[in-house]
Amino acid sequence: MTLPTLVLCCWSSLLIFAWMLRGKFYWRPAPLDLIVLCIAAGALCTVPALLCNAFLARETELWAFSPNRLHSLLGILIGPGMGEELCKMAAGLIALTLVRRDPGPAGRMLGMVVVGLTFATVENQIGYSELGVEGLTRRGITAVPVHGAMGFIHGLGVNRAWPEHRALPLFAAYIASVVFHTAWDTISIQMPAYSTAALAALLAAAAGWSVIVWRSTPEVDQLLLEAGSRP
Amino acid sequence: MRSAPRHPTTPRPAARKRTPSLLHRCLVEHLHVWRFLIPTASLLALCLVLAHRQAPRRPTLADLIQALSSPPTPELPWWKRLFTDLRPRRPPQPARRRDVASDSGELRAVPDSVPPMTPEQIAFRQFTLAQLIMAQRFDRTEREALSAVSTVPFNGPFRHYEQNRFLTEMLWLRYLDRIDREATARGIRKHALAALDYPAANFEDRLNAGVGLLLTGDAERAIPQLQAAVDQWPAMDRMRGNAYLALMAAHAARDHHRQTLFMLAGFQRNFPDWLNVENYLPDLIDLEATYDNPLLALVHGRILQLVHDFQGASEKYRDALDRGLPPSAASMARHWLSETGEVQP
Repeated sequence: MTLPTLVLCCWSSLLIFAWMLRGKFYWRPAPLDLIVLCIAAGALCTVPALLCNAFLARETELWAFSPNRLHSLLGILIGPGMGEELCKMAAGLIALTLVRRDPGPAGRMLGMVVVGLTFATVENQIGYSELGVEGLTRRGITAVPVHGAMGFIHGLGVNRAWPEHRALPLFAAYIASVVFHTAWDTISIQMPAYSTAALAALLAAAAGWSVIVWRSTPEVDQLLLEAGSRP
Repeated sequence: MRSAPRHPTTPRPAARKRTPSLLHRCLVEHLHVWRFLIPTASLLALCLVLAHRQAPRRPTLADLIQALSSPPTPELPWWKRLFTDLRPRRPPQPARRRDVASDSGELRAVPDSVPPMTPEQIAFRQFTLAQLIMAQRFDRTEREALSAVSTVPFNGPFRHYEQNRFLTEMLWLRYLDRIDREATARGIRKHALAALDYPAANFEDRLNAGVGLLLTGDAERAIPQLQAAVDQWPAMDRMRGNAYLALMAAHAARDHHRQTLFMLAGFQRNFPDWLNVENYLPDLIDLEATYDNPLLALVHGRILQLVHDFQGASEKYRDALDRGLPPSAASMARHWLSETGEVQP
């Protein structure tokens, strides 16, 4: 692994991470223990996710690039959709359960996004480093922010689930991210004629939504604020 | 009478809240996490098992390599096959270059080798080449060849590149057989340009893209691709000659008379196949119909003159002069016309 390749694989992850840190953590410090855990978890969860994709591609007909459109769709749904999203969510959730101090909504959201960004970086390194400068730069503009946006979806679900210990928001976030990931990959693989415009629109929508979500995420839980204000 | 308590009731210190253990925190306090993870992981596992049962795998690349009678490779256990996908891939290394003398005597760097390819890519290319050869020899139809290549189950970034190369070569077979030439040329252009997106695209891809653009009426965009193909071609062979001819025609089509005349002067040196006019003149005639430029008629006339078809050459020179050439090209046309023994107009 050469340094330029590493930089090309992770430049946009670092930019998104820096942007997230800059806008928050005024009232409480950034949860460094959670960030370190999430980076490790995000790197580790790449292995089962890519193994799942490799299993589908090598051992079954449900292969993302299959000429049969139904097989391709199912391959994308089960592999990149269900497999990768579950691995990322599981990694982030386990990291959150391991930290002693609750990092608050912004910390939880940051943790889930860090898992997504680390996943994208390691995936770039393992699966796409042969694409060269142009290909990796293109992935830095498209695939990495999309993994970050899916981290925001996970983070939103986690923030809804955490204060009241409910599982339902986690399922909702998982389904939303699976649908988004499947739609993204299906458009890029099965509809090359429309992919540039459609993916640009999807990316812009996801990026705009992520910015709004991050800006509206408080640093402290609303429930805690309400409990603190009671007489 | 109430007896006094045996132990004085001193106020007990408030019990300190115990810090929950890591296990307790993970499993009990965050039970909702496990209520989510266990069903979703089970669902994913069920999907994978069903996919394996209901949609069994197709022949792998290893099977295809074996089928192509390369040295047989042992079948790996499934877990080893999976882990081969997790090895980081090396970025393509630039090809080594060496200096050769150009037409004008200057040294220029040309590739000394093709960029290195992964074993899977080599196997894939071997497979596509085998299909092309069989299609060329009519051992299998184009449809069968395309179907065979499209079902190769390998997911690598190079797949699109190799598929586009294969489709371009397949379309060249159709084009040379003069089957629906306009649509075929558009197909060549589309797939050759798609192959150029890959970082390891080489001089062959540039030649295909350049000729595809030239045949479909976009000589301006064809010129840089063809120039790069001529510059990067590693040998002075027939294929480089084709690139040279196409570049000369592209310059003529764009009315670049200086470049056209310069390239005409070096035509025999750069195009080893120049004597076999029956091979390449039909394409030049097609280009004359597409671009309607007198410089192309001049090129046609000069080629006919080189093979001693003086009558055909003089007709072409007259045609070019009648349609109006730039002064320097007109002067050359008159000079060459005089060499054919015709009376100057």
